[in-house]
Amino acid sequence: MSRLVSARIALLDNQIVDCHRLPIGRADDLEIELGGGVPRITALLIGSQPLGDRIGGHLGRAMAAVSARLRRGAEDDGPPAIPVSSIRDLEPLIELDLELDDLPNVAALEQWLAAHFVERLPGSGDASE
Amino acid sequence: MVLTVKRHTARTATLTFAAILAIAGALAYVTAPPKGLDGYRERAAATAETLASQVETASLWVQVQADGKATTAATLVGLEEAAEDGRAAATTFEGYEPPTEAVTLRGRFASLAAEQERWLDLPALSAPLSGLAEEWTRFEERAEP
Amino acid sequence: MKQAFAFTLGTLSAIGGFIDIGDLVADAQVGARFGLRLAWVTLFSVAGIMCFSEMAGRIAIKTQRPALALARSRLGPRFGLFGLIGSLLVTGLLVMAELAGVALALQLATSINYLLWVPVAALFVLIVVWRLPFETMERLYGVLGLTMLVFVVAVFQLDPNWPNMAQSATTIAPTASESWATYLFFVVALIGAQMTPYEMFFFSSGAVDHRWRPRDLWEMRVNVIVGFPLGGLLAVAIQATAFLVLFEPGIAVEHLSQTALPVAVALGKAGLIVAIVGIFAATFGATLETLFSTSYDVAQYFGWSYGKLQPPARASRFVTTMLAMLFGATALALTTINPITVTIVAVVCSASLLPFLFLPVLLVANDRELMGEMANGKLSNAVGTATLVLSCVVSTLAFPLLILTKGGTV
Repeated sequence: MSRLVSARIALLDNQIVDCHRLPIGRADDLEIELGGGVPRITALLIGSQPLGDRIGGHLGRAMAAVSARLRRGAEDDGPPAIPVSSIRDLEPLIELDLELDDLPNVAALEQWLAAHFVERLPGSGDASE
Repeated sequence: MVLTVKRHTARTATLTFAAILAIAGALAYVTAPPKGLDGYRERAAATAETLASQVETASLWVQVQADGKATTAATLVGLEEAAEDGRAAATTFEGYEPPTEAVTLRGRFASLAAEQERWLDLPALSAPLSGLAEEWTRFEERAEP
Repeated sequence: MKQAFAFTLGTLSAIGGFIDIGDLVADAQVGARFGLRLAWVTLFSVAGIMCFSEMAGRIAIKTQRPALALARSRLGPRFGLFGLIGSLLVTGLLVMAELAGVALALQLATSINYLLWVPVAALFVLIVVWRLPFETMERLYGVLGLTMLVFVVAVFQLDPNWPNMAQSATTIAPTASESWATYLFFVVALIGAQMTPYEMFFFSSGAVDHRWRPRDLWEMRVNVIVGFPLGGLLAVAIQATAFLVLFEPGIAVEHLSQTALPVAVALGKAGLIVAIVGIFAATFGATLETLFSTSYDVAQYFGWSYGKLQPPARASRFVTTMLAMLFGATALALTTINPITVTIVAVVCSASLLPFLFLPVLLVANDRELMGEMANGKLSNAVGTATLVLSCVVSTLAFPLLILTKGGTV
């Protein structure tokens, strides 16, 4: 199991899926802990706020600000973070052993849009079949 | 940090300004009225070419319609588009101030345009359409600087 | 049997995807002004788009991820965002142009002004996107798109002087009355119309959506090998019909009706009706493809769930993006802005964007760590690199030529 992977290639910006392979988001940034002198990656950060911070410049800052603003109102404990301990597989996608629905903070906009807009449209139930 | 932000802002502002200037310049170039006699004649020739093309299109539609080769709906659309485009091109050209040496050219243009207006309104009598296209082509050749 | 059926489906959608409003306009313009003197561009475009679509399809099969999604992983979020915004703007313009194309086809059929058809066409697109399964959707416009073959029939019916045609096709120079700048402008416009990146991304997203696996590699390749050259054949046929009917009287093509006119001359009423159905199907199919492609691009960049295979509530951000694009395109079309002008501007912008979208695909397809034994071979790399280099030249020349020739009107 001990295999060397590059954080930039295998983790950063990679697609994250849940245990049913449903897309959760991308590893927009990594949380690194410096405790004990050895830096360790502890969590994958998801969302436009960490992404905007990484892109930088006007556009990036605007993205981060909008995202932070949208999240306010809910108890704000920072952008969604997924502990690395729940990663089940890294190839080809980052697969978690969690279910998307168990991560209430993730994809808040998705849920909001689903509840307030998409599910109210006529015939939204069965377009897949 | 503050310094880099300022530099960013200044660079973005300069870039935005340059982009706006470039777009405005390009638009001005594309829509500029003709300059001088040569410019005017060149534009007259180009407009005549466009009008000849409209007349030829109209006459082709009339011809296929007469041969029973086109649907009436499509012919109507084709004729209307030709008439509208021709009118728009003529109006644009007639909006330019002619240089004094080109007043006769302008007069000839106006009379041809009026003739076209008459025929395109009565496309059923289109036999003279191809003659009109020839006149536009002759006009184009004479106008070319 | 199921396999054979899948072949035809993919192939049909490749044809439908190749011919869109850009081709219908640019090919007819080029044929009417330069005869077949730009037919070589189609040859080059077909080779290039085949090469890159095959790469994108192969990437999707191997990594189960669409090509553009990997661009962000490999070249960083900034480059990815640049590519995303660029292709959103260009493909967004194309959604509007294709939608207007559907309305213009309906206008030709009914002589009711196209502006009245725009909302109807948008509603029709909405219903198809919302209610029809993916495969039915592809089949619908794929089969209807076959009616475009009427342009090939029309060429033969017009009984051309073949040596003349051959001579025109082998001359790489403008006709006597045209300048080199105009000739080069139309080279750029044709490349932009024919090597549309949205085809590539739609193709690879489709491969992910259909859950293609390595055993489907040859099916994917057959789609590419048959579909795109057939699309190219149709493009040259449109050039040829315009050449044979519109070149002599000096008609400049400014409307979709003029693209259909040579078919009426060649084949009469029935031919004209078939051509109008073909134009409708091609632009309708392309509206769907551009719409899906732009929404796929956004969803993949941010890692949202997406696709026709998810229930809408599971992919609400994707669905919302798509509806917003459709609404925006409809609103833009209703401003009475000339759809043909928008088309020409869009294909030129698209041409200028090509290298930025080709580069990541070429890089990812060469990444042996990621692609393993399915990485690029010598042929893909040779054709891909040549296409990339030429697309850089095209990209640099696109805007200067657009302005210098005033959009090809000089």
